[in-house]
Order: sequence, then C-alpha cells, then structure tokens
Amino acid sequence: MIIHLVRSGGFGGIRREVRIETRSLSSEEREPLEGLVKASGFFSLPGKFPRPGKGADFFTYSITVDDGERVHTVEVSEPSLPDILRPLIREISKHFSG
Amino acid sequence: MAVRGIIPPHMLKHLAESSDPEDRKLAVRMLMRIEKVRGMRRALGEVYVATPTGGRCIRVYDVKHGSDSDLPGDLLANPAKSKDPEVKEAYKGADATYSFYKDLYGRNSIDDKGMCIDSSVHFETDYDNAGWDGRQMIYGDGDGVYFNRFTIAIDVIGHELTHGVTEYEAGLVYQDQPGALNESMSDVFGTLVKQRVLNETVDQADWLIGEGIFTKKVKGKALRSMSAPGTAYDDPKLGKDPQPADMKHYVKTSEDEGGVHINSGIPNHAFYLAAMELGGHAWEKAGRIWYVTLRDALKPKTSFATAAKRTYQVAGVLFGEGSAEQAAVKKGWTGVGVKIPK
Ligand SMILES: [Zn+2]
Repeated sequence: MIIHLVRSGGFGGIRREVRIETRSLSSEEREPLEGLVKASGFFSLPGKFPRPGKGADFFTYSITVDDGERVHTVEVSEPSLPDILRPLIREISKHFSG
Repeated sequence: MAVRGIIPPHMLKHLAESSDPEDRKLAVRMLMRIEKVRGMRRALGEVYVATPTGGRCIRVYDVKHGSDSDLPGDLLANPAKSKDPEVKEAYKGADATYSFYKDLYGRNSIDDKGMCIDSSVHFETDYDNAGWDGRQMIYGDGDGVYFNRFTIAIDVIGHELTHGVTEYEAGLVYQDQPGALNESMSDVFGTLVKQRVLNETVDQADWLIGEGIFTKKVKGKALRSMSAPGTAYDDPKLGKDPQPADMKHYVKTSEDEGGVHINSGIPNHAFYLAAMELGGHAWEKAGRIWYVTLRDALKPKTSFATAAKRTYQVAGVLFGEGSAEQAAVKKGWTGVGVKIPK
C-alpha cells in the first residue's frame, strides 16, 4: 500500500509532504496505518469534504491511498476533520521527515 | 489616542460624487460612522468618564489535548496569574489585543459589541499550529522539536483575534487574493499589537511574525517577515520561506486556499513600506488607515488592487487629499507592484 499525504496551510503556511510505502515499514508501524485506512472506509469516502465557511489558519490535507487495486484521494480541512479520518491523519503525520 | 471624530466633510464629498458606485457606498458608510462617533462623544461629554472599560471579557480554557469536538474545554480561573506559561500568554496576549483595538481605534472586542474573547490552550498533542475557528482561538503546544508553543509570540495572538475582527467586518473570503488580504490584515494588526506592547517605533520594530516559535534546531528567525518577505527561514527540513514581496513573484497554487499564507507577503510588505515612510508609531497613521479600511471599505471578494485603492481613499478621508499619509500609502503599494486603480 502506498500512502501519500500533503499538508498545507496552517498559521505558518509550511507545506509538509510524506509518501509511505507500507511494505517497507516494520510491522509495528505498518499495522496501525493499514488498519486505520481500512477502519476509515477510505475508498468509500468522498473525494472532498466541504471546508467550513468560517475560521482561519487551519491545516488542509490531501491524502491519496493506492492499495494495488484502487487509488483514491480525499481532501479535507480542519477544524472540521471527520472523526473517522483524524486518527489516520495523525498516524500518517508521524512519518513527516523530521 | 481616541477615535478621531473630526473628518472634513469635503474629503468625503469627493468620494460621494464619484462615478464608481462602490466609492459612493464607501462615502455613505464612512459618514454614518462619523455620525456615530460624534454622538458617542456628545454622550461621553455630558458625564465625565475616564476610559470606558465595560465589555472587557477575556476567558482562557484548557482543552487538555482534545480536538475540536472537545472545545472549549475547562474554563480556567485567574489565567493572568497562571503558572502555565501557555495560559498566561494566551490571556495576556488577548488582553493586550483587546486594549489595542479599544484604546487606539475605539473597537470593543472582536464584534465591536464586547463579545467575550475565548482561547483554548493545549489543543491536541504536539500540535504545530494556532487558529481561529469562527468562535474562538485555539493554540497548540508545538512538537517541541521544531516548534515551541504558539502563544510564545504575542503577534500570533493579535493575528488570530484579528481573524475574528475581519470575519465581523470585511468578511474577506479565505481564498486567493481576498484570502491573502485576510491573512495580511491579521499579520499587520498582530505585529502592531506587539509593537505597541514594546512601545516600538517603525525603526525599532522587527516586523517578524511568530518570532520565538521555532526552536533553536530550525534555521530561521520567525515564520514570516514583513520587512523582507521570503527571508524569515531557510531550513533543510522545513524548507525556505516561500513568501513573495511583490506582484511579479505572486505564487499561483491550489494549496493553502490559493496560497493565502504565501501571497500575504505582498500586502504585508506594502503596509511595511507605507509605515516606514510615515515613521513614528505604525499604529497611529498606517495602522489607523488599514483599520478603517478593514472596518468600512472592503468587501468579501476584494482584490489587492481594490484594497490598495480603498486604503488610498481612506487615507484621503482621514488625513486629507494629497496628504503625506496618502502619498505614503501609494508608495507602499507601488513598492510591491500594485498600481492603485483610478
Ligand atoms: Zn491567519
């Protein structure tokens, strides 16, 4: 499975990006990631969650998952991250370089 | 300095007779504001009141590493005396920002109706961010590796609170040029709050946004620079400050709502140039012009060029047509490649 996350925006506007090939991870790292992709029903999620009309400085995420058969991208913004995606985003974010 | 109520009506006549309907609407809005201020002065003149303090309501909550569904969290007693630096800074920053708007521009809180200013600290875990969610401010602790807590910089607090002001006034859409203007307004008033607290003149100020947020590990002094956009940091892990300082380098991107935190460098630098031209305390002239423009003269989809025109017109109304203040505003925008439209 290949997971690609781009985080943009936020107060600092500092772009972060990570591309993870899960088979190159240890099982302690791979299992929670693949588990959360599955638990979120990622491939059935809408491609874009509506951005809240108010607020500022929140992160925007673009997540793409390729499981070998399907490729799907989901775009979502804080502060209204759906609860189903929050743990996955936090888990992927641990892999930002540094 | 209190709100200036004396604005020569002939300055407004110029706007009121313009062929542009937006100019005429601006004239009407400004006349109404002036009448309101005059009425207020009359009322205050009858009974001596030192400084009206009613309406100052500042609350700090601990969300205890929860997320948006846990907001605001537990209300904290006595935040001004808290031993938790994040609580104390969130309180003091909001308090200083409230005073800034009230003392200098006569504004009573975010909505100008004295609404409570709410902040929640310890948002999520290792959260490298601060934000305004449409109701309140939130602050992250930072990851401790690259980012310190976001309350460490008082201009960040002024920045977030100003997002609330903008939402209640101009309502600048958070996308592309209006979004970058929204961001810039927050940086402008954020840095002015800091300058006022430190009592700095334009030459003494650092014009940095978020100074102190980066840990020592990061090669950079702050998140943004208004005096030299694009030079705030250059780090092997975090990359280089992407802000342009002029229209020639405007960044076209779909990320970050069209680069609202990137292209804000352009209006930021225009403000800086205007303020430097005027000298002294930036909040007295340049800040006043920008504030009245934000309050009375912008619409949700205002472009850089229109914002330039509005600040120029407001400078004419506040300080006189052909005044040094108006010339400084023009110089600021010209310096970033934005031509003021006729
Ligand atoms: Zn902002």
